[in-house]
Amino acid sequence: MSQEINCEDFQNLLDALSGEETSAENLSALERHAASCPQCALLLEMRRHLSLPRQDALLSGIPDEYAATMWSRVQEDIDRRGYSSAFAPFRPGAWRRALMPGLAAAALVMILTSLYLFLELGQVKKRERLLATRLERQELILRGLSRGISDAPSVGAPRGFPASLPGGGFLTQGQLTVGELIAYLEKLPRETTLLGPADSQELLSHSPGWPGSRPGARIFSSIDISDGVQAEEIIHLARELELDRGQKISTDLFKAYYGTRKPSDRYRHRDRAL
Amino acid sequence: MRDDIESQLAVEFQGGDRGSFKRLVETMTRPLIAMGYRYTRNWETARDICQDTWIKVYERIHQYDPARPFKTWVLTIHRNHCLSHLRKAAVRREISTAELDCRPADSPAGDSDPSEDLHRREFWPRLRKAMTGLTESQRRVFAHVELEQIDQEEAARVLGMKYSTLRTTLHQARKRLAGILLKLEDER
Repeated sequence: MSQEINCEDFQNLLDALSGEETSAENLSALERHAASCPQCALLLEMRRHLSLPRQDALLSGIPDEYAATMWSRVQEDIDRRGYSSAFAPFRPGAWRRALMPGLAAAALVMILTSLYLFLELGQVKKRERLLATRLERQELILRGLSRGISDAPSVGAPRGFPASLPGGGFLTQGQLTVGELIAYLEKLPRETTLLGPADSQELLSHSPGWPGSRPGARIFSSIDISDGVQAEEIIHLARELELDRGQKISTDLFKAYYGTRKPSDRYRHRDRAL
Repeated sequence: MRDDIESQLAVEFQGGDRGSFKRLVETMTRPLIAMGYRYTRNWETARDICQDTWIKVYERIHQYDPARPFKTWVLTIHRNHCLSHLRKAAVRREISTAELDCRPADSPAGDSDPSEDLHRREFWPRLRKAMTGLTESQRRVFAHVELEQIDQEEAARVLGMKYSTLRTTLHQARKRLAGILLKLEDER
């Protein structure tokens, strides 16, 4: 091979350098290329430094005491590490294999439990939202009612439910159960006059059309309105008449009454609501 | 009975027979020290790495799969130890050049050229440092072919890659090493 070689050829010849087929001609080609290429010169130098005798020669070159003392050294190391007391050798593999079905079952249980808790959490959150809405509504009702009472000119005034409440307080919700009304009224002083005599009379005189089954109609038709209507009267009558506490009362009745000043307007509005 | 005695001994050792472990150590220590020497060029270091490998074998014998040759399994552990040693030594520079035994194993003391020995001693730490600049794949191929001097086709089989891929990777590794070595020479 008299012609010049490139770096790729150089590497191919280098691969063959340790083989039987390496010829003086190849070696000469390598050296010629290396003389003009510093990188390849380094590769040739590296090959020379790395060349070692054949395996059998290398094996025979191992200092005898190194091979002869290896077992005693290993044994000493094992003892020093405290492994010998655990002999036979550790078998964590066997333990792991034995534990595998249990671990798989535990993982499955954890996955199913997580799924159940996730779904349950969704339900809890839903219930919590509903409860929060309900509490908020009741809170608004209570606040409105108490504000109405305290803002009234005086307890016992012709209007205990208050002028400051039209369209607000518990009247803001469409319906109110008898139970809720009673609960609110029980928080008031018993003698609180909710409607004055004139207003009570006026209300009743305009309520012939109230259906008899409605709780409001039953209450107002059974009480003495000469001194107006007090909170305790409504509570007492509700109990006497054994009104269903879950039955709903339309707040339109109250709105109709308190929503305007002129009786004629009030009841026109109320009738429409009914 | 298994095809090779080493695998049979390993299975017995897995069963708790410490005597089999002793026979494995006695049978395979020389090839392991020889391999260690190819990586470290120092007999004492090669012996220490071999000892560490046997301790690892003792600790991990339960991981050995009897369906595969024990020899291959041990050589893989040992080779990883040798490469790990090279990396650490390159970082820490813990082995001084004076400690390197660069005299060919089969040549008697005083037979080699002292200036050639010195040159070898200087070259080896630089090569070790330069090897840290190779990719993992390049380092493994270079170690198999150039340090262990395993036949390229056999190295491809051991590393589980195509022969052509091994050759390409080897040529890239050499080029890269030469580049790094040149840079190191310029810095001197």
